[in-house]
Amino acid sequence: MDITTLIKEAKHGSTAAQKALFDMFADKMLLLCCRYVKRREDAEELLLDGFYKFFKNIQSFSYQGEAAMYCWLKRIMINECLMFLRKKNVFTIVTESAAEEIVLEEEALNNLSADEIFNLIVTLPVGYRTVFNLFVVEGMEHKEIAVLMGISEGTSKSQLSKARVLLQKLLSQKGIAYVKQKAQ
Amino acid sequence: MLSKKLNDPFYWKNKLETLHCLPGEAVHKKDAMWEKLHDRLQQKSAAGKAKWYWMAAGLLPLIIIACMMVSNTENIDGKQETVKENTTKAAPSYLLPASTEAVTLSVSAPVEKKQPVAVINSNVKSKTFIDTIKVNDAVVTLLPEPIEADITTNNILSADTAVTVAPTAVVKKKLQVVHINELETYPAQFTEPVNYAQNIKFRKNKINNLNVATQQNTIGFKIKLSSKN
Repeated sequence: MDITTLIKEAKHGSTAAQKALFDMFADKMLLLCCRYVKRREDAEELLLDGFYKFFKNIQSFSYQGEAAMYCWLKRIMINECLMFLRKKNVFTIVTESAAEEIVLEEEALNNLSADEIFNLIVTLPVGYRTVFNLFVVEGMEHKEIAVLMGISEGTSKSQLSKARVLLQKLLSQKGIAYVKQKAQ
Repeated sequence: MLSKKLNDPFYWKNKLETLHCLPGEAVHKKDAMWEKLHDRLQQKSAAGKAKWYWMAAGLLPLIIIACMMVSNTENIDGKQETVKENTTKAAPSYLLPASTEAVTLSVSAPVEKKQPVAVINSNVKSKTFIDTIKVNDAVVTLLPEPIEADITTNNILSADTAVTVAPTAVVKKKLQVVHINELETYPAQFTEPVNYAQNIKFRKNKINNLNVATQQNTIGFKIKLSSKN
């Protein structure tokens, strides 16, 4: 059954269609939730909340393709995660001491697996992680991020730059890159 | 520079899109999660239905009350309109055209008739005065207007009170006039001696017995002004 039929039937309240849609997108959405929320249980709960909202509001959704639907569902999940983080008040701005200049080897970075990248992102502090996820992975603007997180645009920028520095540091710790002293 | 690559969102996106399940984690129980979600969907829909039922049940009496109020106001308006119509109809009969020989006009307002507060004896009949006026050799009979019309046409707002106010016709009862000399015997109340002896207290002191020795057909009394008995 194609996705158009599934959505049509889900709109009519078909449980089978809803389950098929859930099975189709649950894994990806759980991954997304885990990128924002560290704890697996919280991520699962957020996944359920997101899907619940998705099925409740599916009537208002006009299907324009699989990509559009995926984006819509992703947006719901991101909003759920941000709401959860805001409720827990975990957007504490972590200040990292300035990392030393690191030069990463391009080839080594290319060899990084998806799992490793995922684990790297997850190890970032929550503030850094959220900004990094929203800016780099989701492709949002700093203005938008500031509104979503309830922080200033400048804070969002600084958080992102610090996140990058920390990522470099983490990568170097993994031995992917070689640390080279800045040529004076 | 490699840092440029780190800033490249496509690099991260492409890398992350290749990931299909959580790394290092056992495959999550999708069916169990679906069961949870399904239960939640069912519960919420049932709760939503119940909520609508309760809301409807709560609104029902309000709607009924509102309907009753609307119907009441419509009735009052209808009454007022009929009263106005009747009052306009109750124009003086002498203004009617000459061709009418005898026209009887009676104003009757559609006011609910309730039992009057004072019950008039059915034996006593109020007089009805029928006036006749000759206008251009045509006899026009004027009938007295019913009392109800006066009550209801007073005020629009007093329509409810007009219902409760009962018209009472004052009937003057003529008493038989008899001269005192024509009376053969005095009534007992005038013949029997009355002892009007009373104690009068003046500023907490008993002043005196007011012995009113009334003799027959005499009215007189003595007042002792001494404080002693």
